[in-house]
Amino acid sequence: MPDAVLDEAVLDQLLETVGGDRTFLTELVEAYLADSPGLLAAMRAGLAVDDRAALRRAAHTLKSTSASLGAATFATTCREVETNALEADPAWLAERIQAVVVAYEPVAAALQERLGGAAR
Amino acid sequence: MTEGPSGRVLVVDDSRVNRSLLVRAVQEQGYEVTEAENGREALARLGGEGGRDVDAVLLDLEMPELDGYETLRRMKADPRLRHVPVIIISAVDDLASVVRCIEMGATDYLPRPFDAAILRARLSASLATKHLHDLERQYTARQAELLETIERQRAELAHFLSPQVAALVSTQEGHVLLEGHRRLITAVFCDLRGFTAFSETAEPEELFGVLREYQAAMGELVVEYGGTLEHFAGDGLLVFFNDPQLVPEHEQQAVRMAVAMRSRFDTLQQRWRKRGYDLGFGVGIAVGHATLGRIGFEGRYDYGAIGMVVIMASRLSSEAAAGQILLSQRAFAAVEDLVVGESIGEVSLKGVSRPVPVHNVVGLREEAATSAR
Repeated sequence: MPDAVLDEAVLDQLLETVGGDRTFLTELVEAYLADSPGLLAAMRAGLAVDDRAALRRAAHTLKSTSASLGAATFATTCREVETNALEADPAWLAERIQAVVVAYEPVAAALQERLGGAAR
Repeated sequence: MTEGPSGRVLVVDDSRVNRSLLVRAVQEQGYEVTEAENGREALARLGGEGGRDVDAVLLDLEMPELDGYETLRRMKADPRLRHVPVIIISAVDDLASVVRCIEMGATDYLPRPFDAAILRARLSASLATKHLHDLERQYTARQAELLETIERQRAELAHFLSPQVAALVSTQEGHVLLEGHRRLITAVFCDLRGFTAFSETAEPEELFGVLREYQAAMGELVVEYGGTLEHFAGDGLLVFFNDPQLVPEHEQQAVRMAVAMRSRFDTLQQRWRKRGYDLGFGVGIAVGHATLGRIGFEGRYDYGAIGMVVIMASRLSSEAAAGQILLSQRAFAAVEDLVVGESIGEVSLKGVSRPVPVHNVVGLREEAATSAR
């Protein structure tokens, strides 16, 4: 599966990095799932009030936390918004932000399934 | 936690997901961790109580309030924080930012997402640098303390010894010289005419008063002309030039000093004469090789010169009438252009097999030229 939502290699690394502590990863994923909808909203709001810096920062944070948790493809989608946030055409940005919102759902579901609270 | 490294790491990241992951990962490596949500908080932590304990900073770049670039810039501008290693956390695809930060003084960077091995390598390299820096600072402080002690001892010794000899004691090169060596020197011996008679009749207070004035005046000139005072013995004093410090034109320097001493003595004598003391000043100067170094016995060593040149200077001084500065042949040859001299003829000196030619220094040519104008 070349287009897997989660990069298994990164997840293995992640587990090793925290000394094999699954409980910790569960908490981490819960924090991610709690924070990400706010970031998506911040991106949309940033575009709506033309606060491009806020848009860019939200996209950046979502990119880096997603990358940390192995959602590499999704991180790339976020990065596209981040790098173009300051100059791009609003219509194009609106479309890309929508793509991020859409792509987020499977990421959230995969993380929930893989490392979420249900595993406890 | 394999080899149990030690150190305290400050993690600075605005995203709580990333921050708690980093905190946990760094703890897993065996380090203590403190955290900050942005640059402003990080600087407050570093500048406040316990800030000195931070051995490395893991710094995110994109942060509200105060971003990573500005935090780094302020750290590097602060002499108290400059040496703390900063590891930039950066996305793998953002090498331009990394380069910019390294140019600003960041130690290294951690690409995100990171793995345990890279984190370990980055942290241990940075902490080793910091540890080395801390050791170096301790060492420098101790070094400074030590140097201060040596300097204090040297200054203290200089009250008792010639400054040149006191300096020898504190250097490696000096130790070699103290062991004993041969060198070409100019020896100057001075003493007072009529001192024995004076000392028999004078009150001890008078006697010491005169000696103190005389020694103070002469001692000052020895220092001024860069001579090494070997010793004062009552009214006699032995000074040599070109050892332990090399003195260019040491023969001339010695003669200049002797002439200055004679004129200083005249000033003293004018005062003394009013009190009824009748003293004269005689000098002998010789040039030749001597053995120099530590002479004496455990507990009381002196830096001394041994050789015919010293004996010659002493004999010439005994031979000198009040106001005369007598030069050996070799000494005169070296200063002929400098002085107005007069031949005394061949003189038999005690302990010297044949009569030797001796010259008196009437004055310096430069002085004669000045007064003639």
